[in-house]
Amino acid sequence: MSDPNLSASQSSPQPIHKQGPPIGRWNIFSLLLKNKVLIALLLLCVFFSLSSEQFLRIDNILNVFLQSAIMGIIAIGMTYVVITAGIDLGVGSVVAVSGMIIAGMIISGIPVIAAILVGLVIGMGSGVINGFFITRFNMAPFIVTLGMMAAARSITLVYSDAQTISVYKDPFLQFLRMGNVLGVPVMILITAVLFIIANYVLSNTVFGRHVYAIGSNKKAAEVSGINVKRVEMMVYIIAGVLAGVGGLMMTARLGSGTPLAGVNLELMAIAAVVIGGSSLSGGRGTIFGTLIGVLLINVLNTGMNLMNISSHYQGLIMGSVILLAALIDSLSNKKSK
Amino acid sequence: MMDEAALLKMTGISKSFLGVKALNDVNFTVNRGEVVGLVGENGAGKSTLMKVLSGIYMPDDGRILLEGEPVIFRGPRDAQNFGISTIHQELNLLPHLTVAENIFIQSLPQKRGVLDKKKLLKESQLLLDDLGFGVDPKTLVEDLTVGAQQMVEIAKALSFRSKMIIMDEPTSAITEQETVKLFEIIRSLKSKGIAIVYISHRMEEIYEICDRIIVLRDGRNAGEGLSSSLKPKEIVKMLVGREMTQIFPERERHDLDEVVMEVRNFSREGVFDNISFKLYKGEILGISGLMGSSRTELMESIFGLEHISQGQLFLNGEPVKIKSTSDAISRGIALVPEDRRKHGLINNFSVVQNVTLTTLRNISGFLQKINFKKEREITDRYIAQLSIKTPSGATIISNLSGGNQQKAIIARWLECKPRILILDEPTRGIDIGAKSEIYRIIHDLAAKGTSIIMISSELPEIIGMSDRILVMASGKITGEFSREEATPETIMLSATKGV
Ligand SMILES: Nc1ncnc2c1ncn2[C@@H]1O[C@H](COP(=O)(O)OP(=O)(O)OP(=O)(O)O)[C@@H](O)[C@H]1O
Ligand SMILES: [Mg+2]
Repeated sequence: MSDPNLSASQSSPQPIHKQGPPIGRWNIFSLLLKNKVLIALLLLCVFFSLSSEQFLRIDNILNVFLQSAIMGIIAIGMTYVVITAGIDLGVGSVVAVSGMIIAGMIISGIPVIAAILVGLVIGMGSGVINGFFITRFNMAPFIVTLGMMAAARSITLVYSDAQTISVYKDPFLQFLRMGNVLGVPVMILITAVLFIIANYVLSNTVFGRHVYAIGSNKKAAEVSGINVKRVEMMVYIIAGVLAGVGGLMMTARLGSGTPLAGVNLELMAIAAVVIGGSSLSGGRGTIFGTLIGVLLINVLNTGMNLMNISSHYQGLIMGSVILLAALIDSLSNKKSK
Repeated sequence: MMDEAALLKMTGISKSFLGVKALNDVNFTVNRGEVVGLVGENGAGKSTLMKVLSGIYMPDDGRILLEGEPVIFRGPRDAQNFGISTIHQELNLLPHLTVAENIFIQSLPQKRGVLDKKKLLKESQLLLDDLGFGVDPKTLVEDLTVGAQQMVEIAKALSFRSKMIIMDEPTSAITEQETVKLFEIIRSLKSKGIAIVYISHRMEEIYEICDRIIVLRDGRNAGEGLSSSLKPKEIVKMLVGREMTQIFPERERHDLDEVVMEVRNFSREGVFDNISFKLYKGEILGISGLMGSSRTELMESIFGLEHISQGQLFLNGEPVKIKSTSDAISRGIALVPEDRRKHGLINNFSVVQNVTLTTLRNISGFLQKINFKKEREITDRYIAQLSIKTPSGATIISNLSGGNQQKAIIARWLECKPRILILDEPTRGIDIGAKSEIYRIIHDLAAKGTSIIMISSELPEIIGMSDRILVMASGKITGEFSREEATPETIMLSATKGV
């Protein structure tokens, strides 16, 4: 049994999350050593490519990345939230509501750009509402965003009367769905750009530093003149806007707004973030780690489908792998103490 | 000195952290029923040596003999089982549990698998009575003062039937009355044959309570002797490796004419009441008083951390409302907080990241991009200036010794280049050498026109540094003295007024 009295006294040096240029020189070996989950991801890839010759085919690899796109965008916002020691359970439902409203507006003849803008504003609005309750009334993020999760899902159902709204033929959405630039699908491109920006902001800017500071010691951050409420508000807005982007991508991908879009997406995003080394108690995490986490989950999904594993078993396997990956991360942190 | 009956004998102890040699061939002996004072500069290795002794760190080298038998501590429990308990620099109680539960947390009495509450209360009451410590064992620890929490830690140590109790800077956060009480208890423990290792940077305390003094410097033994024969001067020389002639800088008189800040009728329900004072340009204003006199709360209100129910603040004659800390900072006010752990440290940040936290905007360029090179340069300057002992600026701050963490936090606020600098117990846990360095910096800032407010519970510091002294008691100002008028007696008299 570990001794609760001493846990704090061991002056536990937290692993250094690089705040400077993310990974220094791209030294693959030091990268691997630092990131055990990356090793797990590579091993998983090796395993699937040995068990199924389709795994390494270019269309399958693209498929993995496509699958990762929406979850990845959601997980970016989640990473920011989690580093401040918060959580956002509402993003899955917000994906549905903004995706649905975008579809609905396109159907009713509103220009697609305007529809998309409205979708993003809805995402942003959800973030403002979350942030308002959390910062203004000091409410627990878990509860506030749980409320958002239920409310946004309900609004989706009311708005669509629980029907699917098809926008398959819209040319702009078709471009998002099938278009590519130099062979890279547009969705993957958008996601990649978002990851790069998010990583830059988190590790290189004043705002990013403040996000870490708040998650690590909120009171000290406040004493140090950081506007804690504003940073927290920003973080939920980022998560909300990204959920709006996710909604757009979801509608583009499916060719329709569906009331059950994004169910459980927030949980998968949280899993990816934690697998990627973020701590739910705040102060620790990286965008790069989150990317690895997202890829791990989607490689597993695709791989299991390729191997024709019954969907009844897939949840069990997925659950075990998430647990294992999180365990690896927590063990390797303990070692570095 | 090293008689046969030595309770504990540590020989040749070495310990390194990632290339930092924290302990280098250290010898340390404690006899039965003896109070040993362990002194040394910040980062000298005192806490590390005690962590080796309490089983938290395994030494790289060296032997521990307990009552003549070699022992190896693989964990804190081992050490406890051998009768060695530690009260760490940072207390480690569980705040949401009761006093009784905390005392017996590792061996809660059970009856058929269920917590035996009756026995728990009875046994903890016995221990507390034994200490002469009148607190209800059912009280939650979070409701106790730091001093009372220490008593609980001592009671906990006694519950293990300890032969030896280590106290790492126990008085750095408790009131004077609590210190008196603590010393009474140490004496009574001593009479029962329990040995105490007592770490402190306060020389008077060391002389008052310790039988023998052991000095560490840079992780090595730097000397030792009986407190009856060793002179304070000699200790200081062992500590810093040179003679220190003057601790407080010579302060020339200068005119106090330009008011930079005026506090008028500050009140907060039940905390402080109708406080008014002026702060002049280039002045060092000392605020004295006992703990609980609401000095800290008053300063936090000025700084925008807490609200006031009444009162006005004037900066350079203009009425201002400070709503937040960032507001205060942008108006040129800085506050070095009293509670380093809660209000200062960002534990998993590096030294650099901690130092630049408040001033990041000044060193960021386009799109708030932080200039990493500049922040390193700034920090390196403070590392040199305040002699912060750290392998580099990139070291995680929680790996620094307590005193060096404090210096990094002071650096954070100096870098704000404030016009009004409020320091709340700035030298707590800081060694003599660094103290005099910090005094010199404060003095130089004042000479260049910065106005300083310094809260301190150490009378020599207040008297040695201040141009003017305000004394607070129970949320009111009960005395004001010029530098010439102030004596320890007059200050203490005002500080206990109406208490
Ligand atoms: N866990 C750790 N990792 C790395 N370095 C450490 C660790 N603990 C201590 N050190 C280093 O070892 C040295 C001794 O530290 P220690 O805490 O023992 O000093 P101290 O004498 O207690 O000082 P203070 O009076 O400031 O409390 C310091 O240089 C410190 O930076
Ligand atoms: Mg120490």
